[in-house]
Amino acid sequence: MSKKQHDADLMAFADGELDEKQSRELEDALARDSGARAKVDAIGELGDLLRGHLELGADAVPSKKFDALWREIDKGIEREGVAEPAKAAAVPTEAGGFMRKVGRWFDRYRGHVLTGAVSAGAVAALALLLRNPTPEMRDQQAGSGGGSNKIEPTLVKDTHEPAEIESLDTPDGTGTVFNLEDEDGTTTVIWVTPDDTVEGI
Amino acid sequence: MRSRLRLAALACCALAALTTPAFAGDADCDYVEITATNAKDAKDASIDPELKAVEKKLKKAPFTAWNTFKKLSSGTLTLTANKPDTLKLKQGSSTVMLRGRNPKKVELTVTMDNADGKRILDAKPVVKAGDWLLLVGTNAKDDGHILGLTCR
Repeated sequence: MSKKQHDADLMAFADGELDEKQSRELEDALARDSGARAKVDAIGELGDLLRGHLELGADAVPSKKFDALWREIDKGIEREGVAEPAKAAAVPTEAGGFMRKVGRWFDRYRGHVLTGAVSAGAVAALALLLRNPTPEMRDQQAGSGGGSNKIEPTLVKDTHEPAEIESLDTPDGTGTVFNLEDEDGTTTVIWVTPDDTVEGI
Repeated sequence: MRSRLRLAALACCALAALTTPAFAGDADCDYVEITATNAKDAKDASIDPELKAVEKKLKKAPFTAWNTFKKLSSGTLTLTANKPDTLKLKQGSSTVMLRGRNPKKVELTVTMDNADGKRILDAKPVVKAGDWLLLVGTNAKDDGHILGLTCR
C-alpha cells in the first residue's frame, strides 16, 4: 500500500467511513504502528476543532443579524403604536373637506375599488365584444322587376352615422336608399320608383 | 371580502346598464308631407317657407329633379313602443311604429300606401335621433311625394 493510500485510509478511519472489516484490519495495523496511531489521533482532533469552529461561527453570525432584525421590528411596532392613536385622534378634527373624505374612503377601501374597477373593466370589454356592430353607412337598392323586392342591408364606411335600414320592401317597385350629408347631420332617403309608372302615390 | 364582492357586483351592474341600450320608452316625432313638382317657368320655382327644416336637403340632388316643393301636411306624434301610429296624409297614408330605441337611435317600422291604398313601402330603419328620414315616391307624371320624418 502506498503512503498516500495509507494516509487516505487513516483519514477515512478517523472519520468513521470504513466498513467493519476494513476498520478491524486498520485497528490491528495501528496497534503495531505508533506513528500511524498518532496520525489518526491528530486527524480526529483536527476534525473536532474544525467542526467546533464552524458551529461557533454559525451560531455567532445569525444571532447578530437576528438581534438587529428584532430591534428594527420592535422599533417599527413602537412607531405604529404611536402613530395609530395619533391618526385616530386626528380623524374627528379633519371632518371638513369633501375631497379629504373621499381620499380617506379611498385609502380605506382601495382594495374594494380596485376589485370593482377590474370587474367593471371586464364587463365593459365583454359588452363591447358582444355589442352589435354600428353600421356607418348603408346604400341599398332593391332590384327592379315584378313582385315584392326585399333587399338585405349592406355596410359602407363613412365618418357619419346614417340610418341603418334593417329591411326594405317595395312591392311592385324599386327602392333606393342613399344618404345626404349636411351640417344638420345625415338624412337618409328611401326613394321608391314604381315599376309601372302608370300610377304612383 | 363580502363587501368587496358587493361593490364589484354593483359596479358590474352599473356598467352593464350604461353599456346596454335601453330599448324602451317613447319617441317624439315630427313629420312633414311634401309634394314635389316641376314648374315649367323657372320663375315659378319655389320651396314652401314652411319647409325650412328640410329646405337644404331639397336643394340637393336628386331632389333637384324638381324645382317646386309644397307642404301638404305636417304634424307631431309621440310613438309608443310596438304601437303603430297612422299619419294623416293628404295623399295616401302612412304608419309608423317604434320598435325600440336608445338615447342615440330610434328603431322604426314605416309603411306607405299610395292614394289607391296600395302598399308601396315597408321599411325598418334605425335612425339616429334627430336625423331626418325622407321617403320618396314618384308617379307617372314624375311628380314626387315626400314624407319627411324625424324622431328623438
